[in-house]
Amino acid sequence: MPDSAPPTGLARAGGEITLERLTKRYADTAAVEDVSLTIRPGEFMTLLGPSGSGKTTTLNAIAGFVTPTSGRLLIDGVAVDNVPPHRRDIGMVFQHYALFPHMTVAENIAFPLKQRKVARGRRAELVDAALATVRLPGFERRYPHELSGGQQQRVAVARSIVYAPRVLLMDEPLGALDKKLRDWLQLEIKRIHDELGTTFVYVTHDQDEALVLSDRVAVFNHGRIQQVGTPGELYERPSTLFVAQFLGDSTVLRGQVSRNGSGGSSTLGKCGRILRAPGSLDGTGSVDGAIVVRPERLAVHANGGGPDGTDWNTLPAVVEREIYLGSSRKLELRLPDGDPALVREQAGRLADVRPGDQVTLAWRVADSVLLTDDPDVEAALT
Amino acid sequence: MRLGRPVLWVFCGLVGFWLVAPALIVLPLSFTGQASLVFPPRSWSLRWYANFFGDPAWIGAFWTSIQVAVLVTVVSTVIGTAAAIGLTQGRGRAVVAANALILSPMIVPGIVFAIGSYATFLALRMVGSLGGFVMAHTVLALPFVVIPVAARLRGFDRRLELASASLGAGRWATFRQVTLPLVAPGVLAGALFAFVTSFDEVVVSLFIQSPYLQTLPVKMYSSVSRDTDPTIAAAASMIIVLTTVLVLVASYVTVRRSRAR
Repeated sequence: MPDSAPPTGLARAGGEITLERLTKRYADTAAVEDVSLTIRPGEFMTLLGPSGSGKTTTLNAIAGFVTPTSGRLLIDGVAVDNVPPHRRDIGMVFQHYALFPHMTVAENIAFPLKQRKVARGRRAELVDAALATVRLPGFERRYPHELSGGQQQRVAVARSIVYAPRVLLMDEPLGALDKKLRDWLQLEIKRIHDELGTTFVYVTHDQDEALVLSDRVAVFNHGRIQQVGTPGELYERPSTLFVAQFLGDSTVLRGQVSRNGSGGSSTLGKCGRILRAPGSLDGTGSVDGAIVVRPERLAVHANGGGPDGTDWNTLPAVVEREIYLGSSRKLELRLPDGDPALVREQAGRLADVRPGDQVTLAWRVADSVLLTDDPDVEAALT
Repeated sequence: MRLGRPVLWVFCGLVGFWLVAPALIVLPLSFTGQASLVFPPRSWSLRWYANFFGDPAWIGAFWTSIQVAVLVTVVSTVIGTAAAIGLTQGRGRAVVAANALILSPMIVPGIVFAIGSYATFLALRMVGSLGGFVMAHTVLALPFVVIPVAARLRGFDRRLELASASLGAGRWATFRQVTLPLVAPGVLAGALFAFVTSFDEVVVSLFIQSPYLQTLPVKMYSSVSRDTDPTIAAAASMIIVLTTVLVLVASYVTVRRSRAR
C-alpha cells in the first residue's frame, strides 16, 4: 500500500526492556514472583494469562505505577526503578481508554506534546499525523463522549504514539469492545506496530489475540512466567501443561511415564496400550506425566483401520459428539478409561464416522508432547 | 388520582413560601417611608439605603465583611481542596480521624466554638483583627469546601491521573490540567459556600469583634438591639441580593461546564 509509509515524526527505534527477578508482594500474597524477561527493541511482546496471573502487575511495574518489592527493571540498559512514570518515556493505552473528558480529541492527543513543550505549529502537524495513523482524520474538534468505544480507543492509541515513545504498553486495550470491532482493531494495532518500530508490550487474557499479534508471548500463571516463545513454539512445543491447555485446544493423556531405554524417548501406559513420545521427564523410574496432542494432529479411523508401526500411537475410542464448523469438524471422543479426547478434521478429509461408532485414534509419535503432570492445572484454567 | 397533582403543587408552593417568606419580607421593608419595622409599610422611600451608604460605620462594616469573606474563600478553598484530595486518596484510621476533625465545626455548637475562639484570641491579642476573623471563619467554612470537592473526587476516574503520568505530566501538571478542571464544579461550589458562610456568620463574629473592626452581620445585630432602624432591612436586602446573584452565577457556570462535556 503506497499510503502505509510511516507518517513523519512518529517512527522511533524501540527500547529494550529487561526485567530481572521482578517480584511484587501485597501483604503476604505475591502478585508477581521472580519474573525475568528481556523484551527486544521493536518487538511485539504479549503478556498472556488468566486474571490474577500477574501480567497486569508486571505491565504496571514497567509503567512505573507499581513499585516492585524486589528485582530490577531496565530500559535500554538503564535501571528505571527510581524514575517516576512521567519521566520513563513510555506510552500506555488503557482498557477503558482514559481519555480526558474535558478536552477535545486534538487537545487529548496534543497533551503529551504540551508536557514536552513542543512548539504549537509542530504540535498540530504531529496530531494530524497521529490521527492519520489511527485512521480518524477530521475528528480533532470532537469530544470523547461523542465517539464510539472503538473510536475512543483509536484516539487513545494516537495520544500514546504522537510523541514517539520508545515503548508502548497496552493493558487489554480491546477488552471493552465487541468481537467484530476487536478483530479489526487487532489488525490495526499490528499495522501501527509495523509502521512505527516501537517496542510494544501488550497484556491480554485472550489467547487468539496473543497468537495473532505477537512476535513472542510470555505466558503467566500464579505470578510466574510459565513459558516465553513465539506463538508457533508455544502452540507446537508447550513446556507446561498449563501452557498447552491455555493456548488452544488439546487432548491430554495422563499416565505413568517411563524412560524408554537410552533412546531419548519415553513411554506412557494408557488404556492397556503403550504410547511413545520423544524426550523424557526429570526423575528416575516412572513419574506422573502426560502426553499432549493438538486436535488437528489426531486422526480417527473406522474400527479395524488405522496405521501401524513404531512411528504411530493408537488408542481405541468411542465418538460421543460431532461439531460441524464448515471449514472443519470437531469430534469429541471418549477413551476406554473415561478420559475425553478432541479431534479436529479439515473439510474434505472427514473420516466416515458418526456418534456412537467405535474408532481408532491415531497420531504420530513425533506429534506427541511429553509434559510433567500438574494436578492444579484445571483449577487454574477455570 | 386526578386530584393528586394539584394538591402536590399547592403543598410544595406552601413549603416554598414558608422557606423564603422571612427573607422576602425584608425586601419591601427596606423601602419603607417610616422609621420602624412595621409590615406592611404605609409609605415608600429610599432613605434607609441613603442612610446605609451615608454612614461610615455601615459602609465600614460592609467593607470588612467583603474583605473577610474574600480572604476566607481563598484560604479555605485552597486548604479544603488539598484536604479533600488527601482524604479521598488515603485510607486508615488517621484519615477517618482527620475527616472527623475537619467536619467537626458543623457539629460543635457555634456558641462553644465562639467562646473557645474568644479565649484563644484574647491570649493571642487577636480579638478584633482581620487575621482573627479570617482564621475563625476559615475553620467554619472548611467543611463546606471539603464536602463538595470530596464528592466530586469520588466520582473522578483516578485512571486519568495514571494516563496523564504515562503521557509525561508530573504530579503538579496532572493536578492543574486534569484533576482540577474535572473537579472544578465542586471547587466552585465549595468556594461559594465558603464565601456565604463567612459573609453571614454572626455568633463567632460577635465574640471576636471590637468596636474598631465589625462585620456587617455584627453591625446589624448591635443596631437592631439598640435602635430598630430600617437601615438593617436595607443591609439585609443587599445581602440577599448579593448571595442570590452569586448562587445563580455559580449554578449557571456549573451547568454550562457540564454541558460542554
